[in-house]
Amino acid sequence: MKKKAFLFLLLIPFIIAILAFVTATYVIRASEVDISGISWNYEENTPFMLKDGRQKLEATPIYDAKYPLSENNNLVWKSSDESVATIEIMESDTYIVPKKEGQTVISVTNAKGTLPERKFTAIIVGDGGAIIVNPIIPFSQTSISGVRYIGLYDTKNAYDTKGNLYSNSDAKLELKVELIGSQIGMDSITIETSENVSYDRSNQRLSFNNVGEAYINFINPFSSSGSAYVSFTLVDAVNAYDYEDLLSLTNRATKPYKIVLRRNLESFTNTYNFDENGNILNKKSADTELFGKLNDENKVDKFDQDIYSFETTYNHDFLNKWNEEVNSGVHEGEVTNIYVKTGIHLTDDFYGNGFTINAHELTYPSGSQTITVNGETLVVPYLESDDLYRGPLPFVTLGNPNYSMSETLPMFTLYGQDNSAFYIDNDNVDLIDVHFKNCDFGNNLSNLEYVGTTLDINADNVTIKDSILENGRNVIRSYSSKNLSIDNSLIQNSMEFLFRSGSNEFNHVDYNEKVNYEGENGRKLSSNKNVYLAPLNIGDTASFLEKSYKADSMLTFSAILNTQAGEFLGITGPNYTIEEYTKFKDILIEALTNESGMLNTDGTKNYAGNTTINNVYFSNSGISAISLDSLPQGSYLENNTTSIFGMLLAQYMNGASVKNSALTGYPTRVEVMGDTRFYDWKNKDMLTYESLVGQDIRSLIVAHGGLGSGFNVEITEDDYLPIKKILLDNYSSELINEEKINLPVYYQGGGFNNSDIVFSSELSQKMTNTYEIDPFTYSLSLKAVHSDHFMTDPYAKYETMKVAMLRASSNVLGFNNHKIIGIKASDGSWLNEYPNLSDLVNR
Amino acid sequence: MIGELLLKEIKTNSFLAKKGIIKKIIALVSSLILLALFVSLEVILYINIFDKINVYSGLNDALFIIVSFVLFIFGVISSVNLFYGDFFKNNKEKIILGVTPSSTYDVIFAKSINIYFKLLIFVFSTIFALSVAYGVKSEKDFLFHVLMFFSSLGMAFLCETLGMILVLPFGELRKLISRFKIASFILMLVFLLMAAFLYGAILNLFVNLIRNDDIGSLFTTERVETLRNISSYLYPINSFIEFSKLNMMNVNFVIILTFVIFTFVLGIFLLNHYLTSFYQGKLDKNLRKANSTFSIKLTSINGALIQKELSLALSNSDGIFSYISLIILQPFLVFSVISAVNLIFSTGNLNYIPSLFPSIFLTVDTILIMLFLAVINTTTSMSLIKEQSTLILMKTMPVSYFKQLLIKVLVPSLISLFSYLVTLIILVSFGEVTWIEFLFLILVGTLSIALLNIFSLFNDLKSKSASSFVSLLIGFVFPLISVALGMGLSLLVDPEFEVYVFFGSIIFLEIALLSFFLINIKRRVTNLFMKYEGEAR
Repeated sequence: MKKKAFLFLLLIPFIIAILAFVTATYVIRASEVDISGISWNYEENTPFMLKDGRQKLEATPIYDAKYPLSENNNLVWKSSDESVATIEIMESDTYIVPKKEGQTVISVTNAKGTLPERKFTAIIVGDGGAIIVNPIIPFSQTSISGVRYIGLYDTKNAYDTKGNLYSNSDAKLELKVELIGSQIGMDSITIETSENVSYDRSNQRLSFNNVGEAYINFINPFSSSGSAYVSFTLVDAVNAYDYEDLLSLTNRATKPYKIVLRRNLESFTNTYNFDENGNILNKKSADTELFGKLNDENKVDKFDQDIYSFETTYNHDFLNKWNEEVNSGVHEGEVTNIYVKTGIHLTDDFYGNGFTINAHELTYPSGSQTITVNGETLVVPYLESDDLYRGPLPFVTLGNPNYSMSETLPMFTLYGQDNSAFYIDNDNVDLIDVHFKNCDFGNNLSNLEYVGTTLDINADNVTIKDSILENGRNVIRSYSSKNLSIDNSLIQNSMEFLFRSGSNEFNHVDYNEKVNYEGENGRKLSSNKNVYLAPLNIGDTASFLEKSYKADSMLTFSAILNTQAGEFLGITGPNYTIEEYTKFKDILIEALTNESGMLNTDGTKNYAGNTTINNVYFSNSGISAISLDSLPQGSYLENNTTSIFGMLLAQYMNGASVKNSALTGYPTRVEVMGDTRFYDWKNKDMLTYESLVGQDIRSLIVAHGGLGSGFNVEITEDDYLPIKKILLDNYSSELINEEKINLPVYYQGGGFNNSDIVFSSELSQKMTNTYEIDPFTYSLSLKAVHSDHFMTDPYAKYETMKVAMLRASSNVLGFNNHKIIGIKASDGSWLNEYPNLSDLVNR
Repeated sequence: MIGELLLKEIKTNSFLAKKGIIKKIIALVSSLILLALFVSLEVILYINIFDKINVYSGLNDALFIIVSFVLFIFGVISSVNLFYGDFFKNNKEKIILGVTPSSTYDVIFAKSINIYFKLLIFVFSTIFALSVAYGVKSEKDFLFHVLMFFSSLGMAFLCETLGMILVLPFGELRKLISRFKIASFILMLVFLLMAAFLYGAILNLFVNLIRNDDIGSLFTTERVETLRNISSYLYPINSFIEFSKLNMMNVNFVIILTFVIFTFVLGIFLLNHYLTSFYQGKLDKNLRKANSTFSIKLTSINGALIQKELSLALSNSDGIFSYISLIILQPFLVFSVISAVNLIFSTGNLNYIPSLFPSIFLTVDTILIMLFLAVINTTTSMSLIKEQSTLILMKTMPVSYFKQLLIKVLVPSLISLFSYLVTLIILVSFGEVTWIEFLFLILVGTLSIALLNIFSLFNDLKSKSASSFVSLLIGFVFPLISVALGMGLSLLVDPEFEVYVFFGSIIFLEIALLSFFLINIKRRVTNLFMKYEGEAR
């Protein structure tokens, strides 16, 4: 007995703990898995002997074996000149069949065409032999622009001391020159070069003396296989051959450097071959280095000394207030971070050469979990305690803002700026032929939750051209960036948006202005904003119950409209009509909005940023391709109204309430033109807006609902951000095609959003009208379940609290409509199609 | 002969041992009810865990094997204990069986069958019950349940045969330990501290991992893979379960059969060989060390009595659950448990409870402290029984009975109090209880220790079996009732008076109950002790 009792006492904490935890929920945003690259050993110029006849071609698709590949990922080979060599497939093998002496470009991609074509030149060598020339450090075989850039400098020092005539260029192009199938010597070979390069036969090196297009041509007079012609473009920039080079030219640099990337910087698994124990054997490819450093144990080292951190450019008044109050002992808590991190801080032009920079080791959670959802097994990432990237900074939290490290989640979290893999804050930067990605993420867009933005831009006159940017929570985030140009590029795979346009500039509520509103029977009333928006005095019953038509009165009683919450709270108040509430919404928006300075003198809008998108392929977003962001504008953020909601939340705020943070963001403009396409049809069930707001409404209902133990409280996005529900309930017939939906544009609501998007006329025809989504009015239309014994009926209380919390969510986010533009279901453009990179290459 | 021996075993080791048909029925029914409650509880808990972790692929399969294996190990340990108790503990039986014409095999089979029944009950109420829950939740075929039924029979048999083998080194080890009391005490102390630290570390890890509302943090792919790897090596349980799941049936069947045959043959052979020697007295060696010198140290009567009580209190015959072990462990374990429970209630899914019932920490902490005190201090109730052969000396020595018994109560009480104070100081130092609570808890605990020790004395002096129900009431129900009353009353007053009312009501109840025992205590214990004749252990 005693032994058992003793053991039982020791087990008590375990038993309570087991009962205390709840099962984690996983949001699955299924995404097709394609191969991310092709590995082979063919040099740029590879000889094939004519006399050997058919020869097998070998290439290995790169993908994570944990995730099953989608259909049409088989490799498809092509020969550019079938009179020289053809491609033959026998059983499952592919062969090159030489036909005659000459050269042909052999390319391979997946059948879907979503992968940049990898290619090499096959030189068919006959009796005359051939000269084969290859750079020791190979050029990229997957470029979109087709231009091979080489920087004139290999060191920062040479770049720093350069003269106008590029006389101290220290970069070299080392060549491997071979004569095959011929008895002649190198002396018989004629070599021609452009004027800006010189060739040293003794060490087979090219050196440079000026920018511009350049070439070297090795001519074999006895061969019909053609000359060995190597061409490239020299630019006034420094070459980065590995991660250390890149860091020294970016995060560790004290001045801007133009950079030419000369190798892929890839993830650990994409860089090395491993033995069965996971130890590194060798590099997969000569053109690939690791994004990161190896430590003494040959594992990827930490990045904390490498990354670039900067104070968030998003409004962080709340975080500052929190920190000041913590430091001065006003309330408990820890000082919260106001810095965001970026992997590479780009400050000048960047020539990517089609090489990939994959920041997987920095951004992707280092842990993983294997889960089964609806019978499907998925590998999802899991944040370990030392992971640096942990999701966006908060803008405002109703609760402790250190939520990623905290024991409890805030009631609501409005997100600010996220970390990024690449960040630009210098004006006039061109990104040419880059392939940036945050990570390899498998088959679930939710896996991108913590990896940050791929490219964050806060600079004017930035150009992105011939590039691929992919795999971020959001891919491109442009805030307060004027004249951003995105041209001939592919932007794909985001958990939320592929391109976000917003502004860091904002206005606070202008309390010098008046608000005009209507009273009983349409009577015209006018008050100063501070009077109109003032919180109710809950202790003063007479004024509390007065039908004043002021903001807090209407918010308070709209919160309990058509519910029995009044019984719960012990209040009965003035009965405003639905029409009065509907009018009130517009008046409240006007009271909270301050457009001062947002219009130019000529009446046009004063945009904080503008972007031109031309010939861009958007593919596979979690929500929409383009988001026009606003800043939150909830009444609660301004002065903690609705007062009743404020009272309820006071205990979660640890005494730190948000004030004066209903902001009016400046508008931005996006122009979409050319052959821009939206390969963004997703299963309608996968569409979710839940990640746009963090919340823990469940805890609030459990704590205050008096529902009794064992009552299952389940909160979905319909209970706090019902955009999807309203959209699908009202516009399904216009949007759904084969159970799929494609929503290119989202105007973020809540806050005042005066941004614009303009489509070319051709694209406009494919688009639906702009749908207005109004969660506040929708929430007023809801009626909670009525119960004759409300106070003892847990279900009635539960439903009532959910309705009240939905209405309360507008208090936090704001009252402005969300707006959405879709692709017409009847049009169905790009349905079941995939972006084909060959299109971009051939432009 | 086997039948007769078996009948004897069953009669003396089951509910049939009770006198009178009513008592037999009550014993049977109460056992069945308790068993049903136990099975229900474990299955509910298991299903709860199953549902919560089912999202992690392969985890439930691995966990079922691991849980079954742990239960199997418990079964083997129980089996060793049962074998030791049945074969080697009863000296009288040894004398009788040594001269009866029954063969050793008969004795082994008769006793083993009885033990097997007990192990069957254990395996079916644990592993098989969980396997049914696992099978239903995993949507296994009916065949799985059938094969698990037979597997359970096999597991119980393996528990038996392994117990048969391990009981021999276990017995020899006990003999060895009894020869080196100080060394074994130090060994036990080190073991206890290591076990306590291990417990603390595991608890700390567990609670920290799940404090973010999410047990998922425990089950990353790597950890699940590790668990799966571990489970694949947990022979023979892994083989039984995989066999029942129709996985590699031939291989697993061979493994099971090998285990069964090998352990059975080895067990029977070794036990028979050993037992034959044991019954014939060949193993009885004079293990006592010859006293090199016999010295008498003169001391006062009180001093001698205190010394005697100290040596009784410090005796370590119950192993890890002995009084002194628990006294040493108390500060560490109470701190570990209370800090963990406080942390769980202040975070995660239960953090709303403190917002509704701010006194939840006070209530739970006080209950746990009182229950620990009850468990530890009712262990001293064995002290009078420990006297055994010295009882006659107690009754005849020229010292008043009351004085002897007073010292008997005081010594362990003071030891307990010392350990308890250390515990409280640790708790208050780490902020697990406030200073006000600390002061009140000193009073509550002191009264509790006094109450428990005085009650234990009465309990020992009366028939032990008759008062076990009262023992349960005083030791475990009383803390629950008094704390519940304290909490109830504290809800009726303003928050600033909560603590005072809460502890005030508990202290009042303790004093009231203590008074009941203290009235005429001298006369009552003297009379009871005069009638007391000791009790077989």
